[in-house]
Amino acid sequence: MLFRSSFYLSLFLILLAPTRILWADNHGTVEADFFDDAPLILTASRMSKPLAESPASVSIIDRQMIESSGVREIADLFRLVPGFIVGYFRGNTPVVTYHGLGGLFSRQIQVLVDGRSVFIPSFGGVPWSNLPLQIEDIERIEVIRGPNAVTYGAHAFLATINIITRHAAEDFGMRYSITSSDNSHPDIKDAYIRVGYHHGDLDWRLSAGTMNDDGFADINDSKEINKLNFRLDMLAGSNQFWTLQIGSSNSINGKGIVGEPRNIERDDEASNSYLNLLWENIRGSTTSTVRLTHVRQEVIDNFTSDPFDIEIGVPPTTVTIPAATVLISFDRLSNRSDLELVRSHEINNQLRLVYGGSFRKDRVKSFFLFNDDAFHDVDTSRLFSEIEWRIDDNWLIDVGTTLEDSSITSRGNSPRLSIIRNIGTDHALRFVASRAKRNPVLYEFEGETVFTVNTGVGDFPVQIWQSNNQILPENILSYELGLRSQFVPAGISSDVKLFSYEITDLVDFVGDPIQAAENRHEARVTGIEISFDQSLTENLEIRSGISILEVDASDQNLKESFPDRSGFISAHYRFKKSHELSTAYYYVDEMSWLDGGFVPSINKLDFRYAYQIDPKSETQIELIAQNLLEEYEDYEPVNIRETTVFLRFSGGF
Amino acid sequence: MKGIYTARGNIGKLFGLLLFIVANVQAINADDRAIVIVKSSENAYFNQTIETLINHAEDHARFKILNSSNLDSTSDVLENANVIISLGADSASNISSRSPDQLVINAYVTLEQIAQFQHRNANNIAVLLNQPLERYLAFSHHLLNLKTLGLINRSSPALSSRQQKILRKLNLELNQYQLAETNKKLLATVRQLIRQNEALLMLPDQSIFNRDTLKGILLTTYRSRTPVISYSPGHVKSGALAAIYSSPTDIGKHLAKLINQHHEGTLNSNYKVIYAEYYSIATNQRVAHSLGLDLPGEEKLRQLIDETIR
Repeated sequence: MLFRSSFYLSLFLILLAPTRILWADNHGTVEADFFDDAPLILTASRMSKPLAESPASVSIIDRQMIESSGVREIADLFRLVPGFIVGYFRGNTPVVTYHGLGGLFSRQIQVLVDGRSVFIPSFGGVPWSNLPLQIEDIERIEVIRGPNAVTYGAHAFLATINIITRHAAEDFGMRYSITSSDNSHPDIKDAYIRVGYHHGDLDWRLSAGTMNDDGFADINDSKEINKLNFRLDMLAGSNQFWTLQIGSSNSINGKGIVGEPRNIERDDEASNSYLNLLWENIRGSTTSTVRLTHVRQEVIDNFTSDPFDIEIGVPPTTVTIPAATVLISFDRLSNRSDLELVRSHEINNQLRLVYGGSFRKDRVKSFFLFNDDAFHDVDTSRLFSEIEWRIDDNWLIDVGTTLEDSSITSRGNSPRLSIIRNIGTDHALRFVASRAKRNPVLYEFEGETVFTVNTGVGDFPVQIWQSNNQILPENILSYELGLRSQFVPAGISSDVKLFSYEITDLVDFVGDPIQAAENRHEARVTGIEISFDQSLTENLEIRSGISILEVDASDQNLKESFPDRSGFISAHYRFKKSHELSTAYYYVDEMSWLDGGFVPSINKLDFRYAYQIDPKSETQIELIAQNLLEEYEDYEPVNIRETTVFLRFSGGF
Repeated sequence: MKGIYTARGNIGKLFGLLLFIVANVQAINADDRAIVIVKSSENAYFNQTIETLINHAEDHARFKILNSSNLDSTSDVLENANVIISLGADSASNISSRSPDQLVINAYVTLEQIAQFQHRNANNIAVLLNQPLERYLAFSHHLLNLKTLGLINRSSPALSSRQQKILRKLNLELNQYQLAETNKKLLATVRQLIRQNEALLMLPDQSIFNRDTLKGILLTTYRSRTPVISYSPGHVKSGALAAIYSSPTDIGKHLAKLINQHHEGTLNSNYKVIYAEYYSIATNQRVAHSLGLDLPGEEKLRQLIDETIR
């Protein structure tokens, strides 16, 4: 209550702040036209805005950060965003969450690749390693820290990640890379090749890659992933742009644990494919886009268990039957089709409007999930609108809402209000109030899991999951007060964010032996997040971030899923034109993943050295060493993260 | 190659500047014949220019820094100034309206802005943000070895004899495309320009090149694999191939030179408009690589540009 009151007080103070301390903004002046950067196109609002005017906390991971990090997995990049936690359920299954509530099928983060949602409609979660996307093709990643349902609907609950790949025209020619470690864990063998070309107004890029390693020591969690992506960009008329993207990923992943008869060591096969078609029309100050996407995800994972003992009956009159077996099939197929129309329009110098709508159809088929062979559908319709009002050089108000209607939830809206006050040209103070919801996934709403156990005395159905069509969306109400500052002569940029949010109707899986999803819990999170970047010289850059949380939750497991503190500091140094050194230190307090064990605090240190052999062909060799401090438990105690060293050789022509 | 311009420094320099400003504010009390710098607003470019100016001015020079919005309450400082330097159009216009007797140097202004000032004094000097067209032409030609170059403007002014001479010297054909009052046909004009020229030269005109039109222009040219040469290093970050411009440091150095000449009595203080003497170059190597271009080094480029427009 005290925290909320302080927010209202702060808002009041912003509104009453004397104008004498405010200096004229440079927006639109001749000198700004000469020396300012062109505004980024930010995910936070679908409007072209400079970072300081974003109606939410935004972190950018740009190409240079990606390259200097040296990481192989896309998920590992989010360690460079304040408040983000990355863990590995298994060596082939990274998990990303913001602040907490992290689990194998985390449902509270929206992830988009070039605007298409890659959220798994059946279970939730994101298949990070198996995404049909190569880290080399990423131009930048925009991360909105906080609810953003007003722009991207349900699931943009705790945070939104928008991964943006490069325009095909930027990748002319051929580029390749080979990555390899010694034979220690994980034994890494990666390769990547890309070809880009153009024909008149048409540019295309074809990229292919393979990623192989054997995961953690003594665990069957290897992966062999092959990816293929094609992108075509075309100019049709002077102001119309077409983009077509298709891609696929096929993988074989180690699963199972020795000594667990119902989770035997085995391999699953997963395939992910997509189509993304975008039309963009720029006419004066109006931009219209139409996007059609289709995402298909299939997992084949079925096996017969080893013999095990099973108790039949209701306690206390149970009978133990030995040597039972069961055919377990986790096979599942999901399809997501999405059609979206967006139009942004500048009404005058002070008002800008963005509005649009979308229709999404999710189809899931899985005997394991629904105990039948039929497709189960969810239709979701969305209308959204957002208006930006630039009152004067110092004040900016952004207000918007999304109306969403889904076949498994009632109609709801997710509004957001943002007030930004420029203080001079170096500081922007923002207040953001936002409400969002997280719709149940299909499994929570209409799942039914029944196994047939084979014993010497007959077959018995054993149900472990039942549907709950009374389940409600989870809700979040969030307030934040932020200050973004920039001191150009010193090369400093920083962002300080004070926040408080309350989540209600949090879903938990309850029941024994038959579980179901129920709205059981609530949590209140308050805290501060700081990011601080400085370019000390043209060749030395430092980035850092810290997140400190205070959590009050109705369930201890939920509370422990939020580490009290996390942070990072990274440095990148370029010297003698052809040498680069980068290092990064990450810290995460002790915590529990919702489906993992308690893990002690993590201290992780990575290092990268790169030598450019030939600047013209950009041929270079990199030495990357990760986890140089003590071994740590990743996600759960059995996953021991050791030091990993690997080499990468890359070039082009 | 200097690379994309970003104002960089370090904390030490910032503190140094702050200390210097504090020290000079105190010094002003003892020396009313100071050089008064009037900023239109608070921003990093002005601060960097001031820092450079102070560092390059002769030791005995004394400075006082004011904000344009505070001029009414500090008019006595202006009256007692030795030289007045305005940074930005607002302060130039404000000072011009007061018709001061001292030498006034207006920086961070364009030719169009200077033309709008009602009260010109004989002792005004304007240091322009624009580069001379000759410099843009020489830079474009030597960067890409161009034969044809297109630019878009609201009116198509006749070229001076010097500009025509340089075009002949470079064997470069300059095509100007006139745009009506609105930007409705901007991209169509860009398309036409692309068909008829090897590169687009963007000259400073906020009504044509601004945050709303930039994306369309850059994408249109990029898709057609036509290089864009701009006046703004910010555009280079966004996807233009290169820019030639006078950085805040370049402007500061030029201002310091003028101040030193004034103190030595060698400055011709008759009203005149001059282009910034020093300039910087920014290139986007990623765009160059993507377009299959191998750009010459900055040193060689500077030598060729200076030889051409000498």
